[in-house]
Amino acid sequence: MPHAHRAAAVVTLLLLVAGAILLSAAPRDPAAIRFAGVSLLWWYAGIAPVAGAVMTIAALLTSRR
Amino acid sequence: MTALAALTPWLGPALLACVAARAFSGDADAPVIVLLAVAAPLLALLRRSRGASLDRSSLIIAGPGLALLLWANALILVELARLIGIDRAAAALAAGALALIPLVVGGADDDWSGVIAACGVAGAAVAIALVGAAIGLPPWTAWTRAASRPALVFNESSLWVTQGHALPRSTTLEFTEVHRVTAVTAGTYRLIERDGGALAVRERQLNGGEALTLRPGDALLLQAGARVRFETGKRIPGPIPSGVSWSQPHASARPRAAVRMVGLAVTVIGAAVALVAPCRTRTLAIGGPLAVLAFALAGAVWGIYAMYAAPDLSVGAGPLTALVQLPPLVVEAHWAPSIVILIGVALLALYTAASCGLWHRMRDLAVPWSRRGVAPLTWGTAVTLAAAAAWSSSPDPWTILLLGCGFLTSTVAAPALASTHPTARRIGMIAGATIFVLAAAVLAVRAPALGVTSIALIAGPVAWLTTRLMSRRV
Repeated sequence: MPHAHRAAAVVTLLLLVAGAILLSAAPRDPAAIRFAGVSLLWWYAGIAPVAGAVMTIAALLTSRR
Repeated sequence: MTALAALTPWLGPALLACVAARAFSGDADAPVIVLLAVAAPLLALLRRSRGASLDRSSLIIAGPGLALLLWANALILVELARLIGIDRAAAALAAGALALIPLVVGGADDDWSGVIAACGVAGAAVAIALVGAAIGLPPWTAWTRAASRPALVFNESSLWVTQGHALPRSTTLEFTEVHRVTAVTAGTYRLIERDGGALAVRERQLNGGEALTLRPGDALLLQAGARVRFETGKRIPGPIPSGVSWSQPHASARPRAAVRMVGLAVTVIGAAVALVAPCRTRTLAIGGPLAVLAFALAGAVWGIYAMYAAPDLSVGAGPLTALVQLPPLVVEAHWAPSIVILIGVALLALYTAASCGLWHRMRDLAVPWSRRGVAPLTWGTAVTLAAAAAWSSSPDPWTILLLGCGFLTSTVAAPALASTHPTARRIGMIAGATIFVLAAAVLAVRAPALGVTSIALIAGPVAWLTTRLMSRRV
């Protein structure tokens, strides 16, 4: 399974981007809901890139060429 | 090529400055831009290489996209030079000279460009960490406090109140309450008064020290270089009246916002696919993703800290306002110049590395041209045009960046994802470029509200579909 980890990371990254678009365009503005004072969309924008970077590093380190 | 070197075209100063500026101005798309700035290059890094099947037309068709990105980066350097008092022409010349470095050092820059980019990212991250330490709050607390302000007002220590400040560019300021504005420099000030439903434009000749009083609904048109003083405790004129409106900007109608957001994603991810080569080595596999993460988050944190500590910087703000003008306001006087120098050097390093990265892409596109000298000649032409454009005009770098990204999405990424057949790709590239130019012209006239990102949303799928259809026929 040389490319399985890469494929998983690609799917995760695409889902993270899709999640941000859905969150910001969803009706009733769930993106503006605040947790600990910060809006949900900004929490997402802070945490999702970290998750994406970790997935990418794992995929690059574990996949063969 | 290491992951870090592959990412250098992405890690340009224009993207860093635009992420900071969007976060500072409370752009509704700012959080999505931060996420895309990280996710897009990582997607490109992870994709499988399908091998280059280019022909000679690739360089001619895709070259303008690379030149647009170089122009956006050069604009940041020219703006940096303006802020430290260097002449625009000299700055554009220096930007051109720096972009020609990869031609001088030859192939040796391939991996060194990654190291230079890493130094640039580290410089920007260290600078914002020092600013954060001086402010004494983590970014999320700064965001919360900035977002809970009922009104953004000038405080008594603001430069706009104490000694007045010069505007970098012509700006129209709209006032929501009675405000007495004092002219520090003599000049002609254009006042737009709202009298009932009618608008009246009056010109007032003011000497230094003279003031004019604006009423709610009035607007003041200030020319670039005009130096004025505002009143303490009064609302900061501009599009952001309060912290609440900064944190929850009024997005446009929901379907239009969704189209704009999807267009932004297509534009940015497509450009990353066109610019960032797939990573086929484990060497420095950690460094690349970490660099791109630090790069985007540093940009966002600059913008958030600027809104928390100095919302008055939003008056006539430029692309580098948050990065360059914030440190002197929050850091102790003897440390502030060092931090400004650090961010300046970081931007220069990012510009040099991004130029190397863009040159690599142009060199790859020129491979089918067997004659030596075609790639350097094309790069030299692109650098000359970008430097001349940065010298002669100062458009918003974000618009130029998105135009370049959209063009590369339509001419390189979409055909490359559709087929490996050279003829099909060439026809797809031509279709993508043609539709991009036509869509840009039509949208600019008919539907400017849809924005630059919608262009690639039209041209990209057309290029992809054309390439697919042609690959079945040839």
